[in-house]
Amino acid sequence: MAKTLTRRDILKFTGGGILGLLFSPLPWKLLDDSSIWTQNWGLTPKLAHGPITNIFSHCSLCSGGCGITARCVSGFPFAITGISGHPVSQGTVCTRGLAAHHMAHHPLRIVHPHTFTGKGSEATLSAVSLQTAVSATAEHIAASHGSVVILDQQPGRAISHVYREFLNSIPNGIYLNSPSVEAVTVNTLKAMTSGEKYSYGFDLENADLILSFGAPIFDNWGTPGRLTALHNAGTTKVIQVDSRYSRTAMQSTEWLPIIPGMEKFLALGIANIMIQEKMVPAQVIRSMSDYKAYVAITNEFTPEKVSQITGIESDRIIKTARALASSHHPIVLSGADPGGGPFDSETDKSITALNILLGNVGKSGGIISRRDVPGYEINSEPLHWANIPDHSIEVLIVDSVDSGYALPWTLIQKKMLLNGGSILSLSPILNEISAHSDFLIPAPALFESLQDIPTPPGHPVGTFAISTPLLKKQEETTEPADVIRLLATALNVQLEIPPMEELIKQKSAALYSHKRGTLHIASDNSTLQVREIATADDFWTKLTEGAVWIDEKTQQHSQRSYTIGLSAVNVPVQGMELPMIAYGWRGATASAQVSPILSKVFQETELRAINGTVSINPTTAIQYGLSKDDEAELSTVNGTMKVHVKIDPTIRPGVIEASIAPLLNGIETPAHPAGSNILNLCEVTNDGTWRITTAKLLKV
Amino acid sequence: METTIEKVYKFGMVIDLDKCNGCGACTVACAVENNIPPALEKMNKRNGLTWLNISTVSNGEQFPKSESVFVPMFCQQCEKETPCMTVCPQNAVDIDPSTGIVGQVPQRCLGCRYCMTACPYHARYFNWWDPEWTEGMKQQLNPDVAPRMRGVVEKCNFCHGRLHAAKQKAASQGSREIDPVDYVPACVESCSNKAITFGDLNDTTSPVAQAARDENSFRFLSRLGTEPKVYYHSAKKWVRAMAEKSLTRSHQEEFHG
Amino acid sequence: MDKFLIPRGLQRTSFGAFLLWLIPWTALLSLGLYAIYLCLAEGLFHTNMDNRFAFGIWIFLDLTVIALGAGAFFTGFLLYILRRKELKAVINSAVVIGLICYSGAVLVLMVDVGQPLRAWFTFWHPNTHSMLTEVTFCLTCYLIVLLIEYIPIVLKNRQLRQIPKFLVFEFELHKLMPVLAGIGTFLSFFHQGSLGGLFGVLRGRPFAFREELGIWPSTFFLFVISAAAAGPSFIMLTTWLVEKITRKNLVKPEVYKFLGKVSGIMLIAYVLLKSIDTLIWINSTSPGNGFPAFEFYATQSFGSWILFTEIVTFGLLPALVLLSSRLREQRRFLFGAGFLVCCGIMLNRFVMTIQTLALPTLPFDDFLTYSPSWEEVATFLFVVAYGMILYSVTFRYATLFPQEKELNQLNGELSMQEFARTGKTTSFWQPKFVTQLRNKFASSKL
Ligand SMILES: Nc1nc2c(c(=O)[nH]1)N[C@H]1C(S)=C(S)[C@@H](COP(=O)(O)OP(=O)(O)OC[C@H]3O[C@@H](n4cnc5c(=O)[nH]c(N)nc54)[C@H](O)[C@@H]3O)O[C@H]1N2
Ligand SMILES: Nc1nc2c(c(=O)[nH]1)N[C@H]1C(S)=C(S)[C@H](COP(=O)(O)OP(=O)(O)OC[C@H]3O[C@@H](n4cnc5c(=O)[nH]c(N)nc54)[C@H](O)[C@@H]3O)O[C@H]1N2
Ligand code: SF4
Ligand code: SF4
Ligand code: SF4
Ligand code: SF4
Ligand code: SF4
Ligand SMILES: [Mo]
Repeated sequence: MAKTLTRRDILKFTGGGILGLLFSPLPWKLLDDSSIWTQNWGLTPKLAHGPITNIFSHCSLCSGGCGITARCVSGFPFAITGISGHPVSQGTVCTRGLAAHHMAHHPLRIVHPHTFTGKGSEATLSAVSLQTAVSATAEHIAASHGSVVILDQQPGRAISHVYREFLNSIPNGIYLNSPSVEAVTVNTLKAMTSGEKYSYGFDLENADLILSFGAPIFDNWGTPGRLTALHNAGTTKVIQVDSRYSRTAMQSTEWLPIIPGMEKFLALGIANIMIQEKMVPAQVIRSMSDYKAYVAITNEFTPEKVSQITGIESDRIIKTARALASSHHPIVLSGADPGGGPFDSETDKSITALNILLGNVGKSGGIISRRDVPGYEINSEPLHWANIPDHSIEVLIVDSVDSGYALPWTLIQKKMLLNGGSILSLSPILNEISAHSDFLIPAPALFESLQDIPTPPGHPVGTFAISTPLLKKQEETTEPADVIRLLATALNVQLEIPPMEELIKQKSAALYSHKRGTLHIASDNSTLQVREIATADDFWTKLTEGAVWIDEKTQQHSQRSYTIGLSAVNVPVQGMELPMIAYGWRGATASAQVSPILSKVFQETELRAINGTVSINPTTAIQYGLSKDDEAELSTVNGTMKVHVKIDPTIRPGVIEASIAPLLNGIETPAHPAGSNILNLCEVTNDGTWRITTAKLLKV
Repeated sequence: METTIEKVYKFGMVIDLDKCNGCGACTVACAVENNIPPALEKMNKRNGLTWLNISTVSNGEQFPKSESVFVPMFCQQCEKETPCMTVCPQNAVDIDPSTGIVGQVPQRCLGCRYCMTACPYHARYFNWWDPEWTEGMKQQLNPDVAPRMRGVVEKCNFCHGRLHAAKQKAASQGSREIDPVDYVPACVESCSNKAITFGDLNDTTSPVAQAARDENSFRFLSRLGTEPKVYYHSAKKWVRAMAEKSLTRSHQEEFHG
Repeated sequence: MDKFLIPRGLQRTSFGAFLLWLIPWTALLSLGLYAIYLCLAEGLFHTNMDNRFAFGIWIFLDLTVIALGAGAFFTGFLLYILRRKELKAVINSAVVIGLICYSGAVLVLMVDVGQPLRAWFTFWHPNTHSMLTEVTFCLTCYLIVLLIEYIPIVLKNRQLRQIPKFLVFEFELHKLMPVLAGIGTFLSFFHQGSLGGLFGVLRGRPFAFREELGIWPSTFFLFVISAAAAGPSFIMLTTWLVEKITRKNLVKPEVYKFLGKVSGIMLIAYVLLKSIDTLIWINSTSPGNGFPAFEFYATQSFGSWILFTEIVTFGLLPALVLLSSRLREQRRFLFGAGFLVCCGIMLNRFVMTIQTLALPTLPFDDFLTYSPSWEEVATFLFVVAYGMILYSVTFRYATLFPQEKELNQLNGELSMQEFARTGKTTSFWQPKFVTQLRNKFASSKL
């Protein structure tokens, strides 16, 4: 029989329903889901899955030549460490190398040819075809009256030879390097030497005293692992001549705080003491063609005078000279701070000459001759900025390893034609120089293509290795070798340019044919005689698996003679108002940009001052009415920049330290690199250096 | 699997301040290993994400007598009364009795930041922003470490991912102990100056235990009694004096009482 | 137009004037709402807090507000448990203020935490050792108690009373009140205490760390007592404020005096204990942790004057005033002292939160400064606005002050003189245009 449904029933039902629901798992499930949801929101990325493998390769970010182990998941590298027992880098990688696998994904990465409309920081990118970029450049080269220059930022690679051949085959071609803080001593010594058919290298491991004039040897100089190993061993005494309490000064046995720019006079003063105190061996004197002229220049620099010029007590100068002369294996290094750029050539000569006086050239623990790597011999020394007349470059091609921020844009401007000059950049990443170029044909980024790793500047023996690709090459990037081939064809220059990998393989074969030296095998940290390797292909395969070839130590000889070639030096007028020195971080912020993760070092810690920071001593701060974190205006002959003031008691009073550092590429908004670099405030002198500039610093 | 590891460890570190040259490799290695995102534009030392941060400390002298040291600072793995753990309302912080490592469970963290006020070493970091990577970098994250989301706290956990891997390896080989070479935190591995010694403090013969006992070794804020497992070392008098600005315990107290 | 809702025999301004009064608060409310949206949707980078200043004004003001809201539980305790009938006059108002303070604080906390959706984890896997767990539990429970206590106030409304069921319900609830008051007191005792414990347990912050008495650090008890001291003073001040704004007599003078006296008694006890606690801290606790206490006051802005102000200016002084029946007679002193007490509690909560975080711990740390972002300020103003609106509405449509009716019939005259006397101060409490509008609408007043 039918029962009518009363309001009461409905209430009962709903009431019961609700109660039941509460005791069901449903509400708890919902709560759980809500929390699970909070764990995946914020778009936290999904992680790659798959087997974890190690791939051995070499880092070509700078010329340090470090072996790397890339930890990869399903093919993607996610971390980089060294190769234990690696004979060059001794198992370590530098701060930048640890994140080198990010470079291909840099926010300022360029993946196909572009042209720039507008100039400098206003310049905007627009895509062009490879053809357009190449033919435009070719036409300009064909029509050029000024010189056609290729700036090779990492000389000694296979591509360096391609550049050289190409430039030799056109009427006005010039192959250009800029001086490396590592190579400058050996290059200068080479230029002073006659009777040396090889390059020079530093036998640091066997040295007992290193006198370094500002070379940042414990701050990513050369191959960092090699020097940290040296430092950890602790058997070598290091005297660091530095205008500031640098990382290297901090780690060295003794620090000689010098008034910036006066390094030359300290060197001459030390020479003078050695000569006066008859510490120079007779056969050394005999080997120096212009000894008399040299003495004539040095003898005016008595300890007292030098002390007064350099701000270092005379007895410390004398002590240093004697320490040098009395040690068995001394090495004297020239080479300044990367940011400040190279010393002027007179300074380099004065410092380098000390090695000759000490008679340590060609001796173990000194500067030794290094047989060139077969297939990598140099036929002619490259030109450096000093050799390039102002406003003489009509077409500048900047190699893919872009000095980025080490070279002041103003230096390049100084050398380019006043009007009508054009720049082609091969940089895979946007940076100060490539952002100023007219055309951009990006090369594959780091680890996207196979590269050769030549002997690092200043290394005591020849080495050869391969940077094995870890990443897929971007479709529209072009190997510099292919760019040169296209240019050659467009200019119908007859040149045989094989593809890059092919070319490097040929060089490897040539090297193998000498059956010389040893291979270090990454996978098991073992060593193989090249003789024991069956075929050139085996040799090649091992190289592509992370092996590095090490030459035998070169037979040393002593049939050299030297010409110092110092011209009379005049003592500078002291006390320029506020000397500004650009200061930076060797290598680790080198070619072009750095991985965004380096922001940890520049932005989220106090480790390195960010771009556009000036550091001054507290007393200087008081003098100029400045205090911590003030905004100020820094002006030089080249212009004015807003800067951030940092107070640092380890900086010499009366000196401004302008820090050069990567743009903080907040990955949400990559900054336009053009004109960002404080280096552009540096005054570039006629010899193409920019160490010291008078500056004004005003609070805003 | 992990259950087969029976040995009880007390992992710790000794940082030689005389060897550290502030190269920052450890900071970067830590960020890469633990999927810490790069800085956004507005990030700085106070609101950034660096499980391993490094401060520059000056000796307060005038140039050229002015010197400075770099002090790498990260979770000191407090053993007793672990400040951050005791205060966490929802057990998002735990200490593993078999390793002594203070762990952080971001999935449980509600981001109240009470632990941050509790930590005397400022070793904890809050995600003020959503993490950001470029598309390519997202594919290059460490598959062993879960990225954190906005609004939670994170900190050094002695590279938990690596510990886990080492345990699994040991277990798969039926070993009851972790082979020391299998468990090396990223910062330790990356330090080419060999400034950081890592290992088992329970094993009195281990390099780390010996270094910790050195008379020039000390711990920051040791009087708080939280028994941190990270030691520092310096032969420089002024550095140790700096560390004692807040009274620390004498070397005797540290090791025999 | 809303006369049918206004309790019989009570005078209320016209609906228009009332709306006008609400406008500025609504504006503030929406601004705050926007700030809250930014923090929840985009992230806490909208605040000026950072890893070192992990707590900011939000926590500071939450603690303050909760201490001031203590009037609710303490009045309840005195009225229902200790049977101090005179407090019937303010209990409703106290409950509403308590409700506002606590709900406001909880709301701000939900914005403050990075993952509010996970807040319930604390109930799911609580860490019983954490003071914050204690706080969370007690706060939520007590908030519920306050809600229940609020219901009868609403139900008293003239229209709702028409519904018999509600009348019964309300009556039943009333019988419950003593029980609720008991629970409330119990809960409040714990969370006020735990809020103090929150900082007292911070071993890593020797400035805040205190020895334990039993299972709680001394700050636990200091917070309970200071809250009990501030609560009544705050009720006193707010009631007086409402009188000023509405220009009515709402409670009899004895009530004020009694509140003042209670406040005074609690305060003197607090000052005594606080002084002892401070001495122990300076001489043993702090140095024991490696920090000579004087160093804390050597840093910049936070000199030892803070300690003095907290204990003497804002402590001993008002306590003595409130304890002297002669001074209590004079409103100047009574309310003046009450004001100082509230300042005192505010300063104390400031010291515990902000100063604790500003001070360095590591030997190479700096003394830190922090100033809130507009979003942080606006978020808190949201609570103020919300409180104002809730209170105004309840005041208009419910009977917050049982004595209002009689007082304003007996001496309606007096209240007009009152107006004449206090007109100046009135205009101090409200924008001039409101006063003018009042007079304009005065005619329409019945
Ligand atoms: N202080 C300081 N240092 C700097 C810079 C700076 O601005 N300041 N700038 C950086 C820049 S921009 C650059 S480009 C680098 C350049 O730095 P390096 O790469 O060191 O260039 P160089 O020192 O000119 O050449 C290194 C050695 O390679 C040799 N070489 C050149 N071409 C060949 C070749 O084809 N085959 C072989 N086998 N050897 C060859 C040279 O003779 C020299 O001995 O320096 C960097 N270092
Ligand atoms: N360890 C090592 N490093 C090397 C070389 C080497 O042989 N060994 N070789 C050099 C060679 S051959 C090349 S081609 C490259 C390029 O050479 P460079 O680019 O000259 O590299 P560095 O000389 O290390 O850095 C030059 C200066 O530029 C600053 N800098 C670097 N990146 C940026 C940036 O993004 N923004 C700004 N504003 N400044 C920046 C650095 O702080 C440093 O002060 O590496 C150079 N670096
Ligand atoms: S030193 Fe140069 S080559 Fe070596 S890891 Fe660093 S960047 Fe790469
Ligand atoms: S890696 Fe080593 S040397 Fe470099 S900062 Fe870290 S601890 Fe110091
Ligand atoms: S250092 Fe800080 S985070 Fe690490 S355990 Fe100690 S209190 Fe916790
Ligand atoms: S922030 Fe997270 S870990 Fe820290 S106390 Fe709160 S819930 Fe625990
Ligand atoms: S131990 Fe691992 S997590 Fe901790 S600081 Fe070092 S690298 Fe980072
Ligand atoms: Mo370069």
